[in-house]
Amino acid sequence: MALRSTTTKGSMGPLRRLGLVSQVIGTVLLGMIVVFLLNWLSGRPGLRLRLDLSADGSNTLDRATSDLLADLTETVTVDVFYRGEAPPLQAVAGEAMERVFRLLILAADEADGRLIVQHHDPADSTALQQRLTELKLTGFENCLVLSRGAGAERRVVLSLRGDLAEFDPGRPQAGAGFSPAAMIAYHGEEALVSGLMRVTQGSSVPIAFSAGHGERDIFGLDEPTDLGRLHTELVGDGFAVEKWRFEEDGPPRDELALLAVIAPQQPFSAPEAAALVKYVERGGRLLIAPRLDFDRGPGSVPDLVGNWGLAIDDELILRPWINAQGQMEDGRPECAQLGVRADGMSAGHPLTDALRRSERRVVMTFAHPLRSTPAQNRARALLVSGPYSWLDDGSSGTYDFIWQEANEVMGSRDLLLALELAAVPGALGASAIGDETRAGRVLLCSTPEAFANTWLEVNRDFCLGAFNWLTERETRIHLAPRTSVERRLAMGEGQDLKRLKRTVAWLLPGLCLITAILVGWRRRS
Amino acid sequence: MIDATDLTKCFGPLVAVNGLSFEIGRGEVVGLLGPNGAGKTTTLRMLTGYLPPSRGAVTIAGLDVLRSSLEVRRRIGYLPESVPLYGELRVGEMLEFHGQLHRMDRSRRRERSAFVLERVGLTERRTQRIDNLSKGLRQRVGLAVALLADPELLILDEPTSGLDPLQRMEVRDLIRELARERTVLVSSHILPEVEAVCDRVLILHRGRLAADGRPADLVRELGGTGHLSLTAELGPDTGQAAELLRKLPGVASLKVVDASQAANAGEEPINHPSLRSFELTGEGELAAVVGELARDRSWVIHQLAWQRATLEELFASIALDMNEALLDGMAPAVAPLAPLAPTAHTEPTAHTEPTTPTEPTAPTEPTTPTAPTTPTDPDAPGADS
Amino acid sequence: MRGTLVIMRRELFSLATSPFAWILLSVALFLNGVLFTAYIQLLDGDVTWALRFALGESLAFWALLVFLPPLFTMRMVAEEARSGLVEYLLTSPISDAAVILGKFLAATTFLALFWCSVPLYGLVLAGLGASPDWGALLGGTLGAILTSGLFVSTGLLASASTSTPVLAAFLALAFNLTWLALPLVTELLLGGAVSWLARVFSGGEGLGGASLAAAGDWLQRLVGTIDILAHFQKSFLVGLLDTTEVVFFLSWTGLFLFLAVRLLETRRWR
Repeated sequence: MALRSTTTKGSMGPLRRLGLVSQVIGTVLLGMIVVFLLNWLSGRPGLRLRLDLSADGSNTLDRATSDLLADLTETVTVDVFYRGEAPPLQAVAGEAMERVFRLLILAADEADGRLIVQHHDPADSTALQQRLTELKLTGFENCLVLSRGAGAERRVVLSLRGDLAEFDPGRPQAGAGFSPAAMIAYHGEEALVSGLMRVTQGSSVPIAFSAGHGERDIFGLDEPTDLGRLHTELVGDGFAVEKWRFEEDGPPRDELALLAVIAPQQPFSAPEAAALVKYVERGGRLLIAPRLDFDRGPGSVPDLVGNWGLAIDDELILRPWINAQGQMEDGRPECAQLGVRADGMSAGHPLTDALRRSERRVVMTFAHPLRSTPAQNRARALLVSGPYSWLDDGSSGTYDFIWQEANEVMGSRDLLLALELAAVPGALGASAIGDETRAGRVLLCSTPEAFANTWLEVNRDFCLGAFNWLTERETRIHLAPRTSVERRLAMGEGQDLKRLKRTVAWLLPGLCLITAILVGWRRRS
Repeated sequence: MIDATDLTKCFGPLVAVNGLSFEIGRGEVVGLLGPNGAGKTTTLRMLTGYLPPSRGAVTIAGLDVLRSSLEVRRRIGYLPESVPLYGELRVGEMLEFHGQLHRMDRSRRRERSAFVLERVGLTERRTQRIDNLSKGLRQRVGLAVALLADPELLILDEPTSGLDPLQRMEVRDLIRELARERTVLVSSHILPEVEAVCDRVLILHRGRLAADGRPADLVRELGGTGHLSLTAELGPDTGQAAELLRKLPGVASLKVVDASQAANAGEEPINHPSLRSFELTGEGELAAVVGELARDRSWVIHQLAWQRATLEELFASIALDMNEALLDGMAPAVAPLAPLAPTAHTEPTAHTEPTTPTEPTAPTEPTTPTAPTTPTDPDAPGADS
Repeated sequence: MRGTLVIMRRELFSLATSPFAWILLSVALFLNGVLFTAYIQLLDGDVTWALRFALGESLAFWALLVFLPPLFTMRMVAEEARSGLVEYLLTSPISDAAVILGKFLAATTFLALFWCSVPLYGLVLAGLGASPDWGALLGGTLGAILTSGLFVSTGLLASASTSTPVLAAFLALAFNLTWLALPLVTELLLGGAVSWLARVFSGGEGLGGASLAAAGDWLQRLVGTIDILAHFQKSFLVGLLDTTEVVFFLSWTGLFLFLAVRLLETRRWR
């Protein structure tokens, strides 16, 4: 009878096997759940412990950074666009980028999900282009883009060259003059922190563009001379841009952090001009640029800036054009396109220092020379044209772009004047900018084209820099400097390398092999 | 020492051990006997806790094998059939390792390992690698390992398998010697070995306990009988000799054999009018009783051969019996024409060919309905795969 | 615990007295040494980066990390299952966990010996006047040892699942490689298959496509959490000892050891 029961047991085989399989799967799943739970638990802030073993503390974020990341209330996306620099910077840029990556990993860890890092494959051009468009960027550069909000309403671009690090291309020539490319400075963490601050700043800074006098359209995206792209950049950078019309709005509001007057065609009316001057006198900030064919009547740009001892001349600043053959030419409109490089930028000013650091070029076209009247010589020239530029006398009504050696002298001319007025205690709305005493600032640019759509891609940093300097929005933070020790084996004679190789590649394995032989021999029976 | 109740182990559809219950007292030397595949190894593995039983329980020295597994393992010296040893170790190192596993301290390890090596006669092989030892020596190393921790219970699975006769004798002697001091459970499929060593035998067949007891008791209890053949000149008793013999105590059956038939192979046929031959079966000291009768009646004994019943005989009977019972129950397709009542032919088979368990197929008795068993018989000893 | 130590000692003893293990070690050391000097040479003597290559940044490092443990562990359980030693061990007065744990510790210790060669390189460099960043170096070594431990545990699991050592090594290797390549594979799959599926099933911009993309995103995040390479490179490689990362490696190691123990137990009724 017992034997019969065995046969029935046999038929339960598959069922039992199924039970066993499900038991095994259950065990594995349960184990994995426990592991995931453990991992999650170990990542909780209170339970997590980090010990930076590196000598230079390169794995520890500065206290200021940590605090900022811990206080993030909204999700910030960091888009990484990197496809390598061209030689000779290739290696050093890679090194800098590697540090940036590590910084981002650390920061993302610290931010606990509120900082999302997205790497973009430079080879996948469609996806790349799509993302760049989403971020309202044109053209590619090696950079980080910090953005907030679904449509990237606020975003900050941190360029690898300049914002994150500074490089010295060295001297590529082989021989005596050779010096390798090097990274002069790395300030990835500072840049990231300031970018984060900028992107997450709660309220936008209100600024206004004057309207109603034939100024450049701040929303226009189609015309090369319009300011639509500047507008996009400003909004992304955390500015609230509005238009200011005296007839409707009255005198500029106290809250306005900046008033921009870009190329008005008609003069300002007397009360209008008075309100404007008063605004600046009370600590307001003014960005102003004249048209190419500006007037000199009352209420015109020259007249307005004359209030602070600034003057605009009629001539046009030109420079020799270098054609495709490398020859210098004159007599053509391209001569009016001025590119200002580091040697034309004032040292020691926050605006130009940033540009110099990032090796930016600022393009100014059809620029009139600026002057400050000696009596009130407080203005500072931030950008000057190259030493081979001359002034084309337009008194005849037209510019001929030809250099007349006889009466046209070559020399640098001022392209951008910055003026800081004396501080007035408790003058203007503290709410917008945040300090009690404010000094008025005037930034006079020699041409409105510097802000126009055509050149914005090149001039973006300059434009944003100008607005940020005027509104004192340089969210500069100071982090403790890191000392980095150079650890290098002297390769000069190759003697050390040989010695290293002898120990590392021959002695160590050799010892192991000898052990093998010894062991095999000793234990042969 | 060992208390197994209703021990059952199934491997999928195969029932390897079925409802095994037995007890082994302290100090007993027990043989676990059975043909290949009878479930001996499975039983031993369950006793050591290596295999969890599908049903039933084992306690060793009062401890449940599964629940206080480690405690039990500490008390058992177990030598599996394969004699697992680390080949790359030397004999001494293997013992050292085993001693550490059993948490023996250094001095005790040294002392015990010297002792057991002496015991198994391997003292001078201490530093030899196990790889390089012969099968017999390895077996001895295995025994030494099992003995090292001085276990209360020694379980040896087929300790003589794969050894040549001389080695087998050595090992058997060793076991007999060891048995003096502790409880020993030896499994084997070789009968004389178990008979020689054990004072108790468990016979396992097809996973079931077929018999349990002292070899001699078993023989008696299970109808195992002695076999006596007598050829004598009976003189005046010629007529009543059969009656006299039948009345003797312990005689179970009697058969008169033709004198000519009895005078077999090579023997010169003796023609004597009162010469008769008898075949008797029965239990007890049959030879003495018959001898006494012959003396009293002044028979002239030409031949008196007494053959005690053996375990082997018993084993064969069990094997055959169980086989048929099993086949009956489990595989009717194999022998559809053999619906034999198990009891019907136990006697005749045991009686007709008592000494040849391998050939139980020659039924001389016409009364035995043996014909249908023939198809099942050839695979009787090893049919259980 | 004591059983674990006994098993570990015996396994280590067997490893240390087996010429095979030492030959394997010397080959690995030779490769690593030649590569290291090559790094130094190519990097113009930059010690920090050369060491970083040797401990986590280079393909050779990961190749060694993936290949060595299965070679050490393949025989540990499989061979014993074949020779019956498993029966011996499991009827010895030690727990099953102690058997696996002892073997795990032994293999990991032996591999640790190998990875300790890299700090030795550092010592040689220091002798030559270019002292490395010891903190980062030790962090990297610790990480390499932990990762070796992880791969030893998968190797033991594979070894416990079969009684053919070569098959065990192959299984473990395949598993390790798959794991390492998982993020890459997912990315490729998501890049191609998911977007394609989304297009097929919902005509591009539909709800299905969006949810599918979300699922893909979720999957990628999940895979990201078990990305060994990323876990290693963002902590140990740069000399950062992060409890989260340590827990990551230890918990997965623990899981595989646990499964190996369970598998060993099933040997009893298989």
